[in-house]
Amino acid sequence: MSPILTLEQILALAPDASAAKAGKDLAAKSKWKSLAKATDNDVAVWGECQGSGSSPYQVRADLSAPAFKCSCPSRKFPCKHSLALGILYATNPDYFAGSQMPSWVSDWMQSRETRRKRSENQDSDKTPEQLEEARQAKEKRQQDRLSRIQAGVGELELFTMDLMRQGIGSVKKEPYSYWQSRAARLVDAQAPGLARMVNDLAEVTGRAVGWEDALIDKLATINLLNRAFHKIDSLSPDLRTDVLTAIGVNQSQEELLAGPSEIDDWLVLAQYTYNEDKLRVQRNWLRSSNGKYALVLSFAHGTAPFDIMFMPGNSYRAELVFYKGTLKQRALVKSKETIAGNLDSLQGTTVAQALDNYSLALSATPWLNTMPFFLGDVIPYRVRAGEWWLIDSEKEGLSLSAKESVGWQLLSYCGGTPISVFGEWDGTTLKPLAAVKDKRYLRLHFQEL
Amino acid sequence: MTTLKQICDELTETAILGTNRRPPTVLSNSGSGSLIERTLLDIDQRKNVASNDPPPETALLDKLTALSLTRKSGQLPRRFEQVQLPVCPPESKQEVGAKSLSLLKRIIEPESKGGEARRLKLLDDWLEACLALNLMVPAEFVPRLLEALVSEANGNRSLADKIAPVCGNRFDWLADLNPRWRGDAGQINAREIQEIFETGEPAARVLALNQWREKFPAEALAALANSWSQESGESRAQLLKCLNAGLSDSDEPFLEEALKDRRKEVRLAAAQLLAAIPQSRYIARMIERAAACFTIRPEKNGDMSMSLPESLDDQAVKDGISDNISVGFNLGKKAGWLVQFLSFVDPAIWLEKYKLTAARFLEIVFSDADWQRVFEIGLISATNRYRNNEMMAALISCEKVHLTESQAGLALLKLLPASLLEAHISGKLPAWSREKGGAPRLDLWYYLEATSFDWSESFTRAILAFIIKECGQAVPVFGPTFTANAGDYALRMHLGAADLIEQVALNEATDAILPNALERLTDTYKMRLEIAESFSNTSVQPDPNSKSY
Repeated sequence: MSPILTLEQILALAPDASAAKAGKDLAAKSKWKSLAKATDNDVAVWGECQGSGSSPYQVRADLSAPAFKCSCPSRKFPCKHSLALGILYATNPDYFAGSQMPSWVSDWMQSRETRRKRSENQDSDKTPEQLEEARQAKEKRQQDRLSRIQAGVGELELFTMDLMRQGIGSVKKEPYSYWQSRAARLVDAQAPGLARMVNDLAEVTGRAVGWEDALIDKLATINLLNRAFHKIDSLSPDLRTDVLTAIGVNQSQEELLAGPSEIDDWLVLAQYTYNEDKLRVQRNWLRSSNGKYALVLSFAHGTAPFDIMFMPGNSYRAELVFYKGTLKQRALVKSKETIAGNLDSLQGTTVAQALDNYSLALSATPWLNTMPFFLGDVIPYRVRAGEWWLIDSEKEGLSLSAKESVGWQLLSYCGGTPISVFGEWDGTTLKPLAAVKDKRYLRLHFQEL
Repeated sequence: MTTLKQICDELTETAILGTNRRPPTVLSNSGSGSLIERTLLDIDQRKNVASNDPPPETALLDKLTALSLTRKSGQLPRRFEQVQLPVCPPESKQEVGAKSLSLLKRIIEPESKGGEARRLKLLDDWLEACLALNLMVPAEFVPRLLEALVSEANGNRSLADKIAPVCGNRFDWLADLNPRWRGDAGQINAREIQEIFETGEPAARVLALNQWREKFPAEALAALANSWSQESGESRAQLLKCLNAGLSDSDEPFLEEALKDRRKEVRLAAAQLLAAIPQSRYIARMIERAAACFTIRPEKNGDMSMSLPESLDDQAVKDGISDNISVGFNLGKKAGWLVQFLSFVDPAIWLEKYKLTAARFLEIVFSDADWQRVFEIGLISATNRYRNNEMMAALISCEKVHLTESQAGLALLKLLPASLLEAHISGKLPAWSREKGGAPRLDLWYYLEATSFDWSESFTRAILAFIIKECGQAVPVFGPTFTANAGDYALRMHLGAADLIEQVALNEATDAILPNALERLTDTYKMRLEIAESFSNTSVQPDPNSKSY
């Protein structure tokens, strides 16, 4: 049977709101010359949509991925015709009569299959000599990169020492370009993680209040990483991986996927998207039935859809592969299937317990950026405009990093009775991302802050 | 003993100034034995014993790093002993469905399409449908809706009254915590108002006086009279306008005095207010002036004689009669005076004086082409001011009057009861449909601007049929008024004519402007339909951002 995607899942693929709207407008049977699904497989659907041109656009979809192709000239992907085809199939599968695939569909399906097989068999075609050669070349590349990072770290140390000599007050008014040029050198040194940290300093120095402590915290993290990098060879394998990951050396996804995995039921507790240079990054926080967290990142260029699709508040039986490191938080998705959700096992911690956990994590990875907190039995409390706290049953509170609208949303949701709140703790404030009350999940829209 | 905070502060100061200007001080052992103190001492000792002393900046950065980690890892939660949050009574209403909620989000989101009128009407449609089914928005959405009430529907009581019930018990609960969201949040007591009026900023004083007048008109007038001589010319004009709230005969003496003010803006504001008091001496003077300008002899077949003044007396100038009113009407100076005199006189006075019907009166005063325009503008303005029904009916049925050619005429149309205006426009539709030229047909769109926001189904069908027919013409004549207001027309239409909306389409697109306008019309109409339909099958899907188990 064909995998049936829901309307929301199709709309989540839309590159922007206008494409989603245009797709919905086109999802009327009258606007399609033909609609069909394959009789010889469960995944191919197609249709011909009359556009402004003389001949109709040929739209085809592989629902297993899902993937789309359309003959229209739109630069958006998926285009409105592809979205409309998906919406029609999600909402009215009866419109699609079984049929033999026409050549413009079967050729495309065939080419997808060929590409998939080629990528699977990439290594199996090679001789042992070629594999050894490739391994040595990779090792050399890694050594070269470490040398370049070494140089970058050295330069960064000179810069931080200079800052200590001149005083951080001397850079308070430096423009963004001042930090950007230093960050660019670290990108050249193949240390993008350190480059991001230096770029972040620009935002910190731009703050009107509290910039001193925030800048010192950031410089402290950079200092720790620099020091740790000098001792990289003497660190334990996990710690070594932590340091390299923080500096920006990515772990090979291919290798990770070949390693051990964990199958469990995962609830998507939170999801939000932000831009990083030209990339869109989606952060998905998953929580297993026994309280373990996994951070799944998905990336997309421009208006392209994300490669992994999770619905916040939904549960999945998923096979995850965790990145190496001390905390083992970030994960890759090997496979997943939607399952019925259950919030029964969701137990939040007190504020004090959460802070203890954070201290423990910090002792293992002192450069830890953010940590997931799931606080139980808390109520939001507004001290003054823009200052919100979460107070637990022990009358202990944590400061929220939330605009007024989110604070009021949480307060109204709780109605004066305790709720559970999930968020990211950055060492100072908690960014609230979701709430649970009476087995009801609420996603907080971080981007709407 | 040196505390951790003191150490922190000192190191932070050194970091800001830099070791070049402020060498870091070496810590002395306080004997506390704390881990952070031992760590900081270790850093200093490392400096002292090393054969090559590390530079002070290295020691400073290391100490700052140790302190930063201590701060983060040793953080204690803040105690809140006194916080008591009241509990909201349980909600008894069912929540709206996901589709309805998603439409509401589209309507109130800041980047939603269209202007304020569109947003408010769609919001009104949505609230009406929600109220009809006694539903409420989900609790987490209530603050967003209340915020929209403050920012979008500020002062719109009708919307405010509809928003409160769709918020369920959360409305009162939240409004107690944030009084800004209560409809009367802006209301303050008389003492506070007085204080603001006496000591506040200019804008706040105007607001306070307005509120004061609404609650206690006499006290507010006394306060203004008391401060009048100390007010600047600009604030006198601004504050005087506040008397519009709660205006009555008792304000007349004060306003008569204000007519003598040196500043023109003050005199004009006073004249406007006096003109709104029907029995005032101001109106009596206007009647006298207008009556002196023309005489009708009904017994002599409606013979009319005219006698305009050679100049304006001082009182007329103080009363705000201007020489420039004729600009834009293409009238002479003296004719302009008569227009102004007439505009302040209730038309009923002329009908009573000459014992004429409104229709006959118009027939007489319009009989002389030279004076028709003068009487037309003056009488339309007066009819608007006094809402004289008989004159209103006579003016709209008089073929010589072109109501869409002046702002006063359009204002008069807006005053007509909806059914009367619809009947009036419907009566003209057959003639407009036959017209081959563009201009008379274009008149329709001006008329539609004056209509209410609740067209009847039959009127909606008639207008849509007209639009569909026009779309089918070789050269459709719609004009800029239609293209500018197409979306607004759709906001006024009855949803019972949905079957016709699909037929609104051009045979051939000639330019981009008209198709866009027609698309705005159909899109807006369809959005309203979508709202209605979303409530007809409510509770079908939960909100995707909120999931129940």
